[in-house]
Amino acid sequence: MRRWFLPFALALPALVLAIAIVRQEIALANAETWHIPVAGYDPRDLVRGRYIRFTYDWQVRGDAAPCETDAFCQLCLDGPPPDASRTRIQPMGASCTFPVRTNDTQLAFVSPRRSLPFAFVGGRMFVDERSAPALENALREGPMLLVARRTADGRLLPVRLEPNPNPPTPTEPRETAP
Amino acid sequence: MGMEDRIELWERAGVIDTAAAARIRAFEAERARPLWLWSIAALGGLAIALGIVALIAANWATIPDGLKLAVHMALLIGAGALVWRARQQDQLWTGEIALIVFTALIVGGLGLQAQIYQLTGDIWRLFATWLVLAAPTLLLAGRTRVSGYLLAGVASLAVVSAAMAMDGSVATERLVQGLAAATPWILVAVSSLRADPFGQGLRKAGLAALLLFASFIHLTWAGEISSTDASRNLIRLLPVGLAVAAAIFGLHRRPVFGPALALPLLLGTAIAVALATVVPHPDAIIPRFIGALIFAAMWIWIAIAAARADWSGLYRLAVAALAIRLFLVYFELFGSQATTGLGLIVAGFLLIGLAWGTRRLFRVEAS
Repeated sequence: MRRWFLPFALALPALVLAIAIVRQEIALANAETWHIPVAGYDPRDLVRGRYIRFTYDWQVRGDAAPCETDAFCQLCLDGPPPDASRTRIQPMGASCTFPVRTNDTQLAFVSPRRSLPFAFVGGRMFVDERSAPALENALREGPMLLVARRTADGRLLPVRLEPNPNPPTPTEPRETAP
Repeated sequence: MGMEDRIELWERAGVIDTAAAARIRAFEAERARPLWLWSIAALGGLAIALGIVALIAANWATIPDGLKLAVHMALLIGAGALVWRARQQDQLWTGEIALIVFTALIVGGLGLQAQIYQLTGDIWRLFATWLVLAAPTLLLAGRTRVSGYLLAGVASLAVVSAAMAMDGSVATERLVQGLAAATPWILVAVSSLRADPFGQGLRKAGLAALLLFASFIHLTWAGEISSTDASRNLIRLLPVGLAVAAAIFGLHRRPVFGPALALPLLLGTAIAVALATVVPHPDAIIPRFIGALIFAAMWIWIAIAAARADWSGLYRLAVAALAIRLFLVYFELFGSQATTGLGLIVAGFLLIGLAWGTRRLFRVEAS
């Protein structure tokens, strides 16, 4: 019996990491692609470490009160995919075709508009050293799109940033603008 | 002073004769290794390794994700197989190095997945997963002090990062913070399961951590502890109490050092931690003074036990801790330049007295 302990312990990390990869790939295989208009997060501090930070430039409707008390709210994208420029706030678990759930750890209340959880206002994406300066410039100069994939369980996964051909017009009321 | 100078000095002083000097020279010449050749070879190896790392890093964005994950998985399985083979064939250091690489690859794999799948979250979750995945192998295959230190390091990183990420507003969070505070004693308790250098490494790391923790926690005496803080700290102390009991039981079962040393090291520190956290007090001179006295009592108990058990290293550490604390009292209690100056002079005399006392004590014991 005891002699099986070490082989099992040695196999455990590979097994767990492999299961995690498979789970991520399954979630991604059924994910639809969305285009979310984004703006720079803060003119002084776009690139933090190896993460580029941005503000979602989507129209958010609805009452943010459930988000205030605890993290019991979700975003519901109007769609259809890939148009993610309009969304509304709902209580967690309300009926919605394209809900966006953010995991609890992301829901820090540090948004410029204090009533919204950070993850609904801004996000961050891992970028490599070489493309970071170009992306930073692009975010400063023009409207951008975040191409993201939404998994069936409502997780939004950033894929890349690209220029936005149809920027949101400034006359529209944009609730998330700081 | 070089070896040749020393031999000449001893020869002239009559400590060794010419024949002994010749034998020492012959022995040292036999033992000598071309260190500089090895150093150059090692430098070359390091340059190649760094070059490979830089080449991979420069092309990181162009390497497909699948390839990164596959290469990492192959390295992880390879390192694991090497650990297994080295343990079967009793190759001590091959196994240890493979074990260190294996442990590093686990956290590397977690980081790689976080990067590829854009995962975000608290860093402590990553460290805790690392601990859960790496600890079984380290406990089963670790043989030397190095792997003992490694396990202690990974465990401390996981629990300390978790404790720092929580504000202690709910009881479960306070229990996690208590678990972090209990970790030094848990390491000592776990170390008693093993009699080899791995257990020694774990125990040394645990003892070092608990002495540091018990010394620094007395800084709470320099601030306010409200009754709310105190009652919250009671919950934090639950895991600490259990861990202290486990550590004392472990050392009772495998007496690495006698109860005379085990009590001040394991129980004395725990008492100091408990008093510093559960006694409500305002930010005032008297609590500061009481805190300094408790600190001194803890270290004096350790110093007496260390002197009796002939642990001169621990004794010196205790004296140094007392000396530093004594020195700090004068900055705390007095404010003006004149009183601080006076305080420094008194502290200076006390320090010289401590040094002289130590010298006498160990001279008497040596003779």
